[in-house]
Amino acid sequence: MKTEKVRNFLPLAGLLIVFIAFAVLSGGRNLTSSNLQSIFNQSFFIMLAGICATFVYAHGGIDLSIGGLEGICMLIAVVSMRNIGFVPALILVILTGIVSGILIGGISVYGNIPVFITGLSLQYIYRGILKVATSKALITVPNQYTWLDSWGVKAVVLVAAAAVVGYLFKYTKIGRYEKAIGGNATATTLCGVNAKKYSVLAYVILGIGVGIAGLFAMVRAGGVNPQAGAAYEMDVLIAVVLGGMPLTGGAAARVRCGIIGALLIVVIENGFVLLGADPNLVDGIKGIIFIATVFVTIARRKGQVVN
Amino acid sequence: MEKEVILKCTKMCKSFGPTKALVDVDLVVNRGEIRGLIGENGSGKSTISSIVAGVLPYDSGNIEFLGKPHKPADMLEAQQAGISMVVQEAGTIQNLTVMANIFVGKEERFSRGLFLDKKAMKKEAQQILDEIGASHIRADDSIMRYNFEDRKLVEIARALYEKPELLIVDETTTALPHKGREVLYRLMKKQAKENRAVLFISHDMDELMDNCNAITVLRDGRLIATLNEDEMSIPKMRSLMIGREISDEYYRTDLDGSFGEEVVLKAEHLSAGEILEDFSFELHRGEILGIGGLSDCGMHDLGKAVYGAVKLLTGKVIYKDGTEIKSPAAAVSKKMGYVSKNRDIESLILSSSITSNVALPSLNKLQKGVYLSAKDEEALTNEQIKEMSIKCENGAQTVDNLSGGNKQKVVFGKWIGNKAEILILDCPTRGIDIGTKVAMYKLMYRLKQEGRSIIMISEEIPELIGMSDRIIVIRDGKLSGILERSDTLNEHSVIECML
Repeated sequence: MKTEKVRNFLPLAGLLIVFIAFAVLSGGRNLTSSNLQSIFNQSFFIMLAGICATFVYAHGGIDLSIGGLEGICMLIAVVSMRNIGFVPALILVILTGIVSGILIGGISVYGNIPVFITGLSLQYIYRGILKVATSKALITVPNQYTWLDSWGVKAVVLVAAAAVVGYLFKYTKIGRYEKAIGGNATATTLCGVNAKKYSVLAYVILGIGVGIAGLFAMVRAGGVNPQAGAAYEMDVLIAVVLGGMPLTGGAAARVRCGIIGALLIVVIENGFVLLGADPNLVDGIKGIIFIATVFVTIARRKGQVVN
Repeated sequence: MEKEVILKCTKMCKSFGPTKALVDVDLVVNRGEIRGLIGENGSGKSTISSIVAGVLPYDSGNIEFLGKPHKPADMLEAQQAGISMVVQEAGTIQNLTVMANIFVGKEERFSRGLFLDKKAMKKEAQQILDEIGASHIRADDSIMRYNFEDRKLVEIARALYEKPELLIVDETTTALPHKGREVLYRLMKKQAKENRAVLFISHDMDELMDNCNAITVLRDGRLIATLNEDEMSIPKMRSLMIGREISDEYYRTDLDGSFGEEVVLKAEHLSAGEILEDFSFELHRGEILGIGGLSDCGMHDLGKAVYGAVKLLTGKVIYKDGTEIKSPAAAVSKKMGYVSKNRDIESLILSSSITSNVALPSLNKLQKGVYLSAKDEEALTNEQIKEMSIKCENGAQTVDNLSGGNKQKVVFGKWIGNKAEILILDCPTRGIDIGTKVAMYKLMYRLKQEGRSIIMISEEIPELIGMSDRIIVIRDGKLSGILERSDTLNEHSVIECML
């Protein structure tokens, strides 16, 4: 019960407290519109993937390949936009995301391989492909597409994603099934739910989100390089956990976890940098916050239990 | 004889979430007593003994042991105070030797610097084993060489090594064959004769009558009465446990084993798991088909095989419209339901709410197009909460704190809510209080009368005889006999088929 309440209120409360704290400490510098835009732009990618990752985390899964996937999608996006156009690029990155979701989900669930291993393997494969493809020259995006980098467009995309995912999660059986699988996959299967199919579906939805994020990331970066997308999956993982998502999934999973957590991380990073901290320390700070959050929110059994 | 108090519990209270396991229990045990403790599942008897033995903390109240306040932080502390407990489930540690198991937690007694004095350990371990009459067990053997009964004897040796003032035996005899039980009875009598005490928990009323000199009855977390030697009797115990007079018959009272002609489910030449071989049978409309046999005869695999939950090596399961049942999803779509023997692991999502559990198989039906209303889920669940009399605050409560009986009601509610026509039940009344058992049997009979079909796999022969229209007995994975409902059918005829 106590863990439940902590999980529900702490992330949002934490976000507000931290933001206000930095506002006070930095003398209001974090409230300037350019800083707020900066926070939004940085957190956009993590928020988008965090929202789309809800189904995966709800069923207790994890996707460690999305860094490489983002890189590949950035590559596909820039090549398509240079040669064909925006809409085909969008379609192609979405397709790539779908295929990637089928790969990681299908191989893990039907091949009985732990999903974090499949994820890591795919990560390396994607990274390898990306490195080869970008080894010849830096590929850059044509200027006419810079409108895509505006916070207005991205806000629309984000709201649309949250609306769609939120609806599917709360008002269709998909959300219930994913949480049930996370709570007890065996019992759920015995209730007649095709747990394997729904597990793969979760990764496909995440893949689509990552694909779209990749297109926007590419425009923001101006192109693609061999390191594109690095550590993306870790940022998303930390974000959802900070946002209150239980690692084993189940009934307490919520769509808002990705949103709140992403903002929280970025606000913290942004705040420290504003106060003059060495940007190199930021990783260390992230790590400490992560483990502290898990410590407080993870369900830990005290002592022994007799049935 | 002057009664000297050894254990005094005053106003013990313990809750697990909203479930009140113990309410103001005052328990006094005297020296020289073998005190029986009886009550249905959920009565609190295991809870109070676990608290006294240091396994569980209590919420409020007071315990005095040997005249001193007793609030152990764990079992080891309770042991040091003079209380040892033996339980029903396996309590030995797999990869260790017998002597390591006996001295687990107390190894420092044998430490010489960095090493353990194995010779001394062996000598002392063998001594205690010999003392309790288990000299066939060698102290330096790996525990894995011994069967369940012998391992239980090692646990008893561990408990008695400290010469506890109070020995708690928590349903240990339920799982022990004859010889092990005799050893335990002898040790309990010795404990009493040496002016110590025993707290003996058991379901077996005959056993309690034979061995105890006083019996305490618990019901719904309260201590109802303590019967001394002259007052002890089985009818008295039973009526105190239930709170009202109850006749021996709580199964069906009719002898009509008839059922419809229509075959609703057909199993043809099924082979699955390690034992089940070439098994065939038919299930009819309005039939309660009992399935029995020795514990590992393959009947539990059969339940899963018929539900499509286990890979079939040969054969098939065919529904009345000709469809083959190859997966639980297929089974559920044909209005089948499965109640597993392992309730917590296979039938329930413990961390989810009652609503989430009950509505799960029905979500397909409840969703209209692309919209699934939470209100529809709640309505379906509330209906089942009412129908099944599930004791809870509301559907939002999580399942994990419910009692065994209520959990099983949630499981049944899930399938009844989905309008299941064929139910496969595996040990459906295991670990359930008597009130819920009666309700379950009534429900099964009602379902039969409504023309639904039930396969009931059970390890309890009285239950099979009491409820089934036909009983299929399995021996070593093969069909050994089919018995029909009649008043001449007795346990003997069933057991004959099983062996």
